[in-house]
Amino acid sequence: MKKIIALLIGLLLPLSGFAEVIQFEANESPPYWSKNMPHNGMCGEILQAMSELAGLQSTVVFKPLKRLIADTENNDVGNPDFYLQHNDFYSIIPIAIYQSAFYYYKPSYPTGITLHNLADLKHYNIGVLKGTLIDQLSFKQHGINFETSYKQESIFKKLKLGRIDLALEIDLIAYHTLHNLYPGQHKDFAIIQLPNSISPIALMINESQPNAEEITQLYRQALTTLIQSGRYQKIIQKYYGDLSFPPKQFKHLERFNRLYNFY
Amino acid sequence: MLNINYKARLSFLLCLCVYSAPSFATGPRVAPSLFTSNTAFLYTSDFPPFISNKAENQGLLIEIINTVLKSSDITAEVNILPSKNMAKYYFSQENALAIIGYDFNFSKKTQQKSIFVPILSIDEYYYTHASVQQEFKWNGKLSSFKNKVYGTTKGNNVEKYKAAGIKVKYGRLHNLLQKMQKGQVDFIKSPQLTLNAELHTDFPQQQSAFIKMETKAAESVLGIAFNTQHADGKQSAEKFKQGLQKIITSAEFNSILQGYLGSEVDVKPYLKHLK
Repeated sequence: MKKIIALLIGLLLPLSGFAEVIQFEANESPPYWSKNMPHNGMCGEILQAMSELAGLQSTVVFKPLKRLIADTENNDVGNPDFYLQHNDFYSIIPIAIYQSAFYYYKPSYPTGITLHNLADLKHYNIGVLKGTLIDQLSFKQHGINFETSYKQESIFKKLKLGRIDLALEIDLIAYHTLHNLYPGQHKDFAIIQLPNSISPIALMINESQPNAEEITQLYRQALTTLIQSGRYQKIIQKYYGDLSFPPKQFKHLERFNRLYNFY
Repeated sequence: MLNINYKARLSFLLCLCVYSAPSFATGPRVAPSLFTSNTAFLYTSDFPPFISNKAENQGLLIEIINTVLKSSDITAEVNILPSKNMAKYYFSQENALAIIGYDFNFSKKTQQKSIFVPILSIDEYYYTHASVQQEFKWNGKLSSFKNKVYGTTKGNNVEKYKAAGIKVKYGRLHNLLQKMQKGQVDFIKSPQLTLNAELHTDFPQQQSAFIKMETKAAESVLGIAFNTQHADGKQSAEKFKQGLQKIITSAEFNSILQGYLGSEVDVKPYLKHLK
C-alpha cells in the first residue's frame, strides 16, 4: 500500500509543476509573432497547437527585444542567434524556419539585377532594418553600404521611390508588407533568394523554468505529432498564401535542432 | 591597468553595443556569410578582445589569422558564432575547414582528425566576488575549491573540476558575473583582458567587487584546429604553419599585438608556447 501511495505521489508531483502557465516572451515581429494577430501570429499558432498536444498551458508576453535579451531568466522565442550572445538555455526547440531575400523595384531596373558574390553588392545602396546588421565593420571594409530603417514599410517605400536599390528582408515579411502597402503591385518587386539565409525560430526554455526537462520532452514530442498529422503544414500555409515555403523545411528544422543542442 | 589605446577600443565597442541592438528577434541577421557560397569557413565564438564581431578586424587573434590566410593564399572566411558549441558542431558534424579558439574539449574521434596550430599564449586567472572572497584560499590545487560552484561556458572541459568535488554551472561570461553577484556561482576562470573588457562595458560600477586570485590558474594557448577530413584541411594546416612563422619572424605579429595592446606590450609572454 505504501508503495502505491509513493508511486501516486511520484506521478502527481511533476503534474503539479505543469499546472502553472508556461510564459514565453516575444517581441513584435508579424506575421511570426504579434499580439495584434489571431493566435499571436504564425508561430504563436504553432506554439498553441503544440501546447494543446503536450497537455501544457502557455502564454506569450510581448516586450521590446532589448529587455528580452537583458533578462537572463525568462523563456524566449525567436532566432536563438540573437540571444545566445548573452543567454544560456536549458533547451532550444526550433519550431519553424525563415529565409531572407533581396528585393528590387523592376521599373527602376528593367534589365534586372544579378548578384554573384559579396563584391557585387558594392554597386548598390541596400536597405535593411535597424539592428539586423552583424559584423558591420566587415561590410564597411568590403565597401558595402547599407541604409537602415526602423520599419519594414519604410524600406519598401524607399525602394519604390528609388532612394535605395535593394531591400534585404525576410521573404514572408516582405510578402505581407508589399501586399499591404501596394495591393496589386507586389509583382513589380523582383526577388533574389539567398539560400544561405535560412534561419530558425525556436522556443528557448530557460534553465530556471520548473520541470524544464519534462517540458522540453513534451514539446519535442508535440512538434513531431503536429508535423506528422499535417496540421503544422496547414497552419503555415495560411500565412504563406501563394508564396513558396522555404525549401527542405523539415530537414532544416532537424539540422537546427542538432546545432543548438550539440554538446 | 588598461592602456589608452585599449580603452579607446573598449569605448568604441560599447558604442556599437548601444547603437546596434537588434529590434526584431525574428529578423534577418545580415552577416557577410549570407552572401558567400562555396566558401570554406573557419568557425569560432566571441572571446573579446581576441575574437569579436564588434571589434575592428574582428579582434586580435582573428587579425593575426586573417593576415596569415592572406599571405599564405588560403581562401577562407572567419565566421564568429554566438556559442562555442555551435562552432564545435560545424567542425565535427559538418566538416568545416577549421575551428578557432582553445579548450575545444573534443571527443577522441574529433581530436584525431584535427591539426592544432598554436598562435597566442594567454594566462588565465580565477576570479571570485568580494562577498565570498574570504572563503577562498587558492593554493594552486583545485581541491582547495571543493564544494564551491565553478562557472564556465558550455563546451569547456570541466572534468578536473568535477573530479575535485567542485559543482559546475554554465553561462556566458556576462551571465556568470551576474550569478556571482547573486551568490549562485563562487568563481570563474578568465584571461584578465577578457574579464576587464566585460567589466568595463557591462559592470562599470562594480568592477572592484570582482577579485582576481593572484596565482595563475592556467596557461592556455589560442589557436586554430584544421580538419583533416576537409579536402583542404591538411594542406591548409601546413601552409598556415609556415605563414604564421613568417609573420612572427617579420615582426608583423608584434605590430598587430601592439595595435591592440599598446606599443609598450611585451610580446614574449604571448609566444611562450614556441619555447
